[in-house]
Amino acid sequence: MNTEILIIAEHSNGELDPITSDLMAWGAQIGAAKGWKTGVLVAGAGLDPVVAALRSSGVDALHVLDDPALAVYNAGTYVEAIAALLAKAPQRLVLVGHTYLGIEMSGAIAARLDATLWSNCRSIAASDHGYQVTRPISRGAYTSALEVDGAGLTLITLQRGTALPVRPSRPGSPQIISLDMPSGLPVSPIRVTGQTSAELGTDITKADILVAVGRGIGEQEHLREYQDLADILGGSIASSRPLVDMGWLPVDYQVGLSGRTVQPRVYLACGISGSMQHLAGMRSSKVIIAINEDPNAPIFEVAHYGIVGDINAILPELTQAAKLGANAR
Amino acid sequence: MKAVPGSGVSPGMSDDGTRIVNDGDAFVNESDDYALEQALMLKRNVGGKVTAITLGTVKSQDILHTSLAKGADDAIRIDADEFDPNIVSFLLARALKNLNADLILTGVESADGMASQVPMAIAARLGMPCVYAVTRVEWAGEDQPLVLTRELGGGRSQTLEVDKPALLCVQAGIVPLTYAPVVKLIHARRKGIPSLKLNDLEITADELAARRKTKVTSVQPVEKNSTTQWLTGSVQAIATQIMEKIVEAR
Repeated sequence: MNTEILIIAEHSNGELDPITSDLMAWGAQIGAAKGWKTGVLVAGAGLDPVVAALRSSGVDALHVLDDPALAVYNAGTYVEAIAALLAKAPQRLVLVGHTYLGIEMSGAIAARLDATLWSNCRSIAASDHGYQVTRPISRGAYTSALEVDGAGLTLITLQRGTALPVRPSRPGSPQIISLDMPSGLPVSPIRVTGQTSAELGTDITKADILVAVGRGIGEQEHLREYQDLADILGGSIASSRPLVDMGWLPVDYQVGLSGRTVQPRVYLACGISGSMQHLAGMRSSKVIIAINEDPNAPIFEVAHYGIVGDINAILPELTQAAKLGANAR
Repeated sequence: MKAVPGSGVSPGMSDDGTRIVNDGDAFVNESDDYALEQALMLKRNVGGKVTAITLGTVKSQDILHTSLAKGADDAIRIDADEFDPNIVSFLLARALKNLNADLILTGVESADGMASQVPMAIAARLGMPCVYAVTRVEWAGEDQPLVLTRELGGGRSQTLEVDKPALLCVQAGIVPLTYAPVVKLIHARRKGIPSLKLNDLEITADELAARRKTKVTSVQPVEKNSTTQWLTGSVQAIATQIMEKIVEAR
């Protein structure tokens, strides 16, 4: 792996996770500033479709670790394999998505290699002696800027939806390098006995309009009225995590880091304050309309239209207006 | 467990740029509260001893008193004032190594640092498996593996069997939170809590200094999105405007 920057690709069911292209854009920018080459590491089993999707990515090298032992994600196996590869061919900078898998692997890999890790970053730029990163602190209300010494190996995890405004275009085909599973890895103390995808239930990612509800709707009995509004608008209801935790809605409806990533034409956020985890799953929606009682709620940082008020007072009028609109169509 | 500032507290930088600092009282990080509850539940079901551990200044001691009042058997504080998770995990791993715990439980994220990296780094340093975002823990008994359900993100989940010793980052809501009875809290606050210093952990100041790779260069409130267009007026007027925006966006 003779590149200085390595991006760890994320994928599932043969599809590349969009966060990988964000990471490649950041990598290309650092590469251009430092005069470094960029590679992507794809680890898994049956990777042909993922590799095909990366063929025109413009990176310098594509490192492919395709092995049946990696068919199902197991942190024990993945971390050992990637750490062993990195130990053999040291990189300068490894970029990982701030997803559940990225969080789990990067923390372990960094400690194994005694590397510096900064996670949950929103941006990274090259600086004289390393990197300048920005990341949220204090429940997302503040942003810290950090100067990281890049003398040793550095790992950075970047949030979803933090791509550069302009993606550097570097046409060209990467060199494809097949890697062998490192030998002599210890048996993972973790055994995967089952895996479920929530794909069988409702798929809110397909809806054009999402009426998303949060703690601000107050009572479970109010849910029905939001469901009615979603029906009239021809969309679907969606939810923030607390409502799913309370059992008001099934997990299929959950938007955010642990739930679905959505980008509907309209995201109507009703009584959602907007935790970092929630924003990560919906900030790319085309039009975001947010209604919340707290004018400082983080949801307004991503909202195109904001209404400060009690959603339950606005809802009946909104439903009425939606009915009129539906009848007029 | 971590003691974190209350919401609404403005963070600042230390003069030397090595730390982010917060004034005011410290509270238990909500995510870690679930880890304690899960530990206490396992203790009730399969027995064992629960130790609450934190790294922080004397201000963070209060969350340990609360943990004792809730039912923890012991508490330990590592006396250090660090914000860098790379350093925090190094120090905690050193302290935990001597405790030889079968199971280490943490939350998924701290409200102040928001890094979610300390638990995985601790487990890797101790050579034990780590599972993030655990939503269910079953443990049939001492010589049995842990049976877990965990989230993978994107609505996916896994069931796992994991050998001990292990570290689990439990997801918020995994078990109901309980509250410490006031009488127990008063009693717990009278207990002295042992604190470990760098030399107790056999770490020299030079060794720690060599691990400092990061400087804080600024701390700023998140800029409000100045492009948010505020819709105002009567409830009817607002409803009409929202519908207009929805129709435009279709």
